[in-house]
Amino acid sequence: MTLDTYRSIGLIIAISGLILSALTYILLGIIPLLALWIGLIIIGISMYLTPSKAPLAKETVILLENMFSNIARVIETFSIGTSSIYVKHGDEVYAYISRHENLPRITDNPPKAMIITGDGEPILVLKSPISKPVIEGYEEACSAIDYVTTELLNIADSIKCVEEDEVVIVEVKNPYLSTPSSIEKALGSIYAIISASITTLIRGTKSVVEKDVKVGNRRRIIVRKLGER
Amino acid sequence: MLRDFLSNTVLACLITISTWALWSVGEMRIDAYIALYVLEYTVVKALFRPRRIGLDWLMIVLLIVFSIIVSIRIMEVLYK
Repeated sequence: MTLDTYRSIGLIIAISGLILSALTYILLGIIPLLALWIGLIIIGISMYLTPSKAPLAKETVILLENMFSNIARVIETFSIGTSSIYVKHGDEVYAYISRHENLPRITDNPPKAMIITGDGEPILVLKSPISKPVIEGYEEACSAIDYVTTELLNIADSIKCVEEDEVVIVEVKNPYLSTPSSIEKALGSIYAIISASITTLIRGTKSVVEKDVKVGNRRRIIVRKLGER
Repeated sequence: MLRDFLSNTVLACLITISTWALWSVGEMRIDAYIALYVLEYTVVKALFRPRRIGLDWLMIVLLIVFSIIVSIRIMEVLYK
């Protein structure tokens, strides 16, 4: 457990508050001033207990990025990554990655094979890491996206999200993870995958990532629904 | 991470404002101040859900202090 600047300041504030409250009680006896120093102790300890780094270790982030790079290599090998459509199958979401947006007839059950064909073109079918049990109890896409990104995985500072009839617009502030470019081109970033999967799960319709761009330290994502299944 | 830092900032503001408010109405009971600080810490914790290194023992200590304060007040009323 390292003591960084923020936590050090917290510790200094707490100790200062402790000394000042003792001096005030012994020498002055002014109760409101004593209360102010006690308040300072609480603030100092609260700062001391606050971690200033993301809980994901650097090694974990590397591990995740390496896993993503494997999927990127598969997409590059088959040259099939230009468009992806998210489809709900029961409590799960599958991404259909192909060169075009024409999907074969979608059945209730997901395809057993990882690669299927539609119009003579190969279609890569990947299961999304987000499924219904992950967002159990959430009825709105925005609150579920916020929960998964900032609380469950803690891979961003905060989320701004707007839900409209046809689209879900998400702005991710200070994303911690990067995604290989080939994955980003085909599936979108990890944030887009999460947003599209949740939108598909909650709305029950097919979805597509319409926009996924990084602007400064923010990532803007637009997920559009593609009509009823 | 932003909400962790924001929670500490909001807590500092609330404690400063409540101290000023109670001081300005001439409150001289230290337990009144501390009870309000405990309430503010609990509200901030519930609203922002800040992450903590290990157990949030500050919350436990504050709750124990609050329980003692309330118990003393109840005993005062009962045994007056």
